[in-house]
Amino acid sequence: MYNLTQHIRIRRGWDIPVTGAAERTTTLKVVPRGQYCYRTDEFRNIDPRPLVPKDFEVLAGTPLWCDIARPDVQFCSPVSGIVEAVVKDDEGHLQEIRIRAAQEQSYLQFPVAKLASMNRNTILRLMLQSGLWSLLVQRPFGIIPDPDSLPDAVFISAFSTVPLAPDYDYSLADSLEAAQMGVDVLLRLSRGGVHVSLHSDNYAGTPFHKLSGVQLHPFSGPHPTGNVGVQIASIAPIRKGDRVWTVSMDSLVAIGRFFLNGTLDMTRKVAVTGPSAINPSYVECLPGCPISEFSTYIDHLHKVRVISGDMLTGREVGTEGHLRVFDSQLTLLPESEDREFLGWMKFSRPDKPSYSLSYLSRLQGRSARIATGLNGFPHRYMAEGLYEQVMPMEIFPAFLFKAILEGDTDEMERLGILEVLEEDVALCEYVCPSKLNLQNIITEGIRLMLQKDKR
Amino acid sequence: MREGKRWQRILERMQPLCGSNGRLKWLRALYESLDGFLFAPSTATRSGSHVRDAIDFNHIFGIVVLLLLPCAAVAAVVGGWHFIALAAVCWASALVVEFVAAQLLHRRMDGAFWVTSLIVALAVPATAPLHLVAVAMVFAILIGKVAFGGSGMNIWNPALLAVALLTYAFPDAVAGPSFLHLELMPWYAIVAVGLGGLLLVFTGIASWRPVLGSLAGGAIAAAICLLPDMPFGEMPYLARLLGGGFLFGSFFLVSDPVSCAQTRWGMLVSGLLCGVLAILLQNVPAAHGDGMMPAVLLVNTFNPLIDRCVISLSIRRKWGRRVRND
Repeated sequence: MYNLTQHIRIRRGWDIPVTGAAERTTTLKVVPRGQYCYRTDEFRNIDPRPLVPKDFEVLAGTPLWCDIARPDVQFCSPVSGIVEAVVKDDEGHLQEIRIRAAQEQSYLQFPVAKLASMNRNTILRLMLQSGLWSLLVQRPFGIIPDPDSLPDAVFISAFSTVPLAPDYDYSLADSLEAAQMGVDVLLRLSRGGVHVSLHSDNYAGTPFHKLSGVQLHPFSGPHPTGNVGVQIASIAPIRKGDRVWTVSMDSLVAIGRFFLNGTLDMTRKVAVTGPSAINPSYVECLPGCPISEFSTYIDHLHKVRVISGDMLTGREVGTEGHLRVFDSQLTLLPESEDREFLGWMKFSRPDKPSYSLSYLSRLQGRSARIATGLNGFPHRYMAEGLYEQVMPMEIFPAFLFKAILEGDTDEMERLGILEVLEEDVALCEYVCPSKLNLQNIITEGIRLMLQKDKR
Repeated sequence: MREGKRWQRILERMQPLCGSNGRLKWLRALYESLDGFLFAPSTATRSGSHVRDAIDFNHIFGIVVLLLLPCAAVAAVVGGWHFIALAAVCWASALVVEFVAAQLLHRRMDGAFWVTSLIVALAVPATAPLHLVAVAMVFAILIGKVAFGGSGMNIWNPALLAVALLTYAFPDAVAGPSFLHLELMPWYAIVAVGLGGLLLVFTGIASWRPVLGSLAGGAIAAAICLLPDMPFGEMPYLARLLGGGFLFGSFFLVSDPVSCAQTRWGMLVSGLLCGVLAILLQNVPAAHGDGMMPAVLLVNTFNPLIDRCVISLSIRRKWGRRVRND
């Protein structure tokens, strides 16, 4: 459907220089124990209904909740054990399900046959029953796709450029077979093929250039080049009426393993990264894993912010929290507490990376022990053309944000809300001198668009 | 660091006095602004990105003032004590208006008025009557900025509004040459403007697009003026570009991040228009020798329209280019 295979070079963007990238070694394999937790707020636009009561014994693959409006769309437990709590908020909406992991993991066996012998409907049923369907992300708006509508195309980014990004070439090196199976499954579901983006610097070095049946797109450039949204915008921007899926590499491998073995195995290598990480490296675990398992990696002498995901888009989970379902990275940042005295007067702040060349430290480009400070008071919007410099899509971010704040859905659509998710504007938020919460604005814009679609 | 601790103690002692029930609550805006001037906020990032850039508006305005200082130094040498007094009056009257507005509207002052007052002091003859300059400053901040909702929301460059008021309402009072209106700027003035301007563009605090647009537009317009039978007066080519505030305006006024166009192409177009108009208006009697001021104010007015056109065209181009063969 799309006829573009040449090397795509992206110029706009910036790699924040930060210390604490993960070494390419796996230093821990977490054996499930303790309390695992799965939150419903990781999935946009669903109204979850719990399918398991307290004290229910679940296997890996037992459905935990389904969407009330689309009961076929369900989420299944990646871990086996006993349901310890079904937490609801004051209005009765399901918030999270906590599971006490069993000593021995046992898996629900699904009737998976050879892929070629199954028809599309059977594959779709299996995807829904295994909960893997919930891991698909449909653009525009980043929602779980409808089971009755198949996508125009599937986009997969086989590399990441987020700060301290996990290296899939390492973490999924032995999962090529599963990735190929995942691609084959998606090829059966998609009308327009599967597009995989690779980093051109490592085109021959990555195992994923061996994937067959897909269209490969070599990309190069700074962050956010690795964001699948930016890649879609370069390959074929999303128009009104388009429907494309994106799948993370870990989810793709989980889909592949499921169709190879008939069990839901979401084990992944998580990169433990960040300036506050001791011995940053990879840890093999399941999503929902308690952060206490990562205790040896956290610098307990200082106040540390534990983030599931990367430092630009992740969620703060704390030392009592759990790894989120979509994340394959844990970021540990030093929490900033002191009020810096006349910090803005300095010409060089090597510990606080800035995109602006008005700080000489930008020229040095040394990696920094970045902390969580806001580094300035919020101000009214005043950032002439700055967002565009780190936003390699052909949209107008500042005007889009204004349209969202006005609630003008037609204008939002025209200016590109269909193409962006929060992660795509995260770097704009970083460089914004007005310290605006741009990701929240996008969230609000998507909420307004979905509300309008419902009506 | 010891200095920081001392200021922190002073601020802590001021806090109850300047709070909503304190005896000095009418100084709240001043206290908060001082607090924001001296210290970064204690609050860390709470939502969205967990890390933020080192840049803030204290730094941005600080850099702009710093880069205006070479010009101010030249103006002080040329204008002597008159210039110092003028700059002080500009600064003080702007501060008073900013403070009252911030206090009444429950805001925090930012550093924009430092830049505004310095630019006005550079653009007005050093011998101008100080009371008129104060009136113009009050007008510019109040009508040009506060009425729109504060810096970042205004349509026109406030400094230029002050200059416009003085030029058109009191033409005789401000007739003398200012730093910017020297017939042909001396070399050291050109160096001062060029140094500040180039650094402003290099640091990225001003975008290079409007600056380049304006310089290119000026060069083209000055060439047009050389054609025979043109109604723009007799002047050597370089005198048009190096005199009359054109160079200063191209770097410091056209590229004002608020009143400039916001789109990438819009910035170029807007800068180009400013440059052309500034040169063509230079010798119009009503402009009193300063083409940049009316040109920038006029183009500022049309910048939102320029942006709309750029967005429409670029969206159309984007969808025209997308290839689909299904």
